[in-house]
Amino acid sequence: MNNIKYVEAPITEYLHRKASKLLSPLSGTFEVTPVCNMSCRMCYVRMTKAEQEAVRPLRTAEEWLRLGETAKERGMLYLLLTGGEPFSRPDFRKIMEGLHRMGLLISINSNATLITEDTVEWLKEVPPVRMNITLYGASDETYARLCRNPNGFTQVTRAIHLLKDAGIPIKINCSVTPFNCDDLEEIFAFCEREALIVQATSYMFPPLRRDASMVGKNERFSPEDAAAYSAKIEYLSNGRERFLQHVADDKMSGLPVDQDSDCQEIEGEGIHCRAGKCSFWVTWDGRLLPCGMLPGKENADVFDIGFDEAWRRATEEAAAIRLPAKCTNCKNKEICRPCAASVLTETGTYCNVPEYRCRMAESYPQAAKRLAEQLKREA
Amino acid sequence: MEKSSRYRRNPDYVFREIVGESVIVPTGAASKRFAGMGTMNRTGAFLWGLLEQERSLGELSELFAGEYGLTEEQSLQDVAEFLEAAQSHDAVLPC
Repeated sequence: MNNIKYVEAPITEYLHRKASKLLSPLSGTFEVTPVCNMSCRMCYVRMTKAEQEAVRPLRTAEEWLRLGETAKERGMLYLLLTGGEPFSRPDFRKIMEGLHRMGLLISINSNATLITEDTVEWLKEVPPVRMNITLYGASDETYARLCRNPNGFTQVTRAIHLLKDAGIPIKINCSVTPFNCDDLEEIFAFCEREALIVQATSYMFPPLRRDASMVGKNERFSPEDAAAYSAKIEYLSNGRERFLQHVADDKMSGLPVDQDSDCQEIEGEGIHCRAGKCSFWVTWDGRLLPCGMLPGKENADVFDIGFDEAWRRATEEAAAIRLPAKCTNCKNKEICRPCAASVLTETGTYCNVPEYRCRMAESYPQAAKRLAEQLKREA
Repeated sequence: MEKSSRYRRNPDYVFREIVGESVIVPTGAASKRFAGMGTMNRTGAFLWGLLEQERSLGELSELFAGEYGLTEEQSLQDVAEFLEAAQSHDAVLPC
């Protein structure tokens, strides 16, 4: 069983708590492209090059670098580069190199299928503090089914080996869906063999960024099946004995919200995460959002209004969010841990209860107990 | 460590004031040897500032003692400890 878990360094947590109190933009995400070489069924952002061109041209490398310089001057230390697939941008190296020189701690989200020997040789010169690789399955067949890339697993395995050999830290993210759930145990076994940190979730946000009509919908599990897989993830993450003990003590972890480190909790009223308090997300077309999961169609373009005004608006937007009153008093709130993005994407508003999460939370304790009983019988 | 030994800070490290805390982040060649960041307290940040230009241990110690009202012996010990820690990550280089 995989016993390697992602734990945030105390200094990182300390800086985020302090920045949240000061409303300082410590942590940013630059979504440098929506274009991806794969086409995953549940993706919230992915576009083809033609679809992207029809909306607007990509922001240039120079624009991202100028934005990075301003955000750095305002206090940004942590930066996540994401997409789409960042490595699909021909000028991604120029962006990374320029940002790296600024003294930022840069992580990169990638599906890793475009990472070759040449990419890794270059990355060794400008190493990210971490590569977050999403692993979608444990075979090329699963990659073909979920991501429409029949060579995906072979490509990502090769990239992981190259990155490990180069000493570049890797964290594996895993989105569990009906299309890859049969691979879940093998994904954890793979990560254990490779000594990789893995963080998995069976909860998929409705992709409102991609399609406004998708409120409460996605190509995903029923809430009850998502809860069952959430229990299985907890078992695979903690190992059999620890999982059984958690179930016996009624101390299960609860449902995951997202794999993003900016979803860590901050104490306070209103929203509980770092969004719009010390973290922000700039979409590929230039909208500065408190969180990348929010649709943000109304948000102004940071490249037009400037970073200071866009950050001010994001902090105001986040401060105004109030989660449904019913959630505040719910007996399952510690299991559910509803976030603003899940409430909005599930219901289309901030004031309605996210039914999908409710049903997941309601099912989760029983699902964990059923799994525990099954494990005991198998022993 | 001799009082006449000279040091400078590694230009590959970027000094940042983040929410009132002093941190140094490696870039360029330094980032290949050290992933992450270093943190400094106020006295460390003071010494880092002095090392913008090449200085001897003796010079650093004298300026440090003047700033914080230390004896020569205490100041030398503190500065030497700082330089050793910083050199272990190549944040400060001997000249």
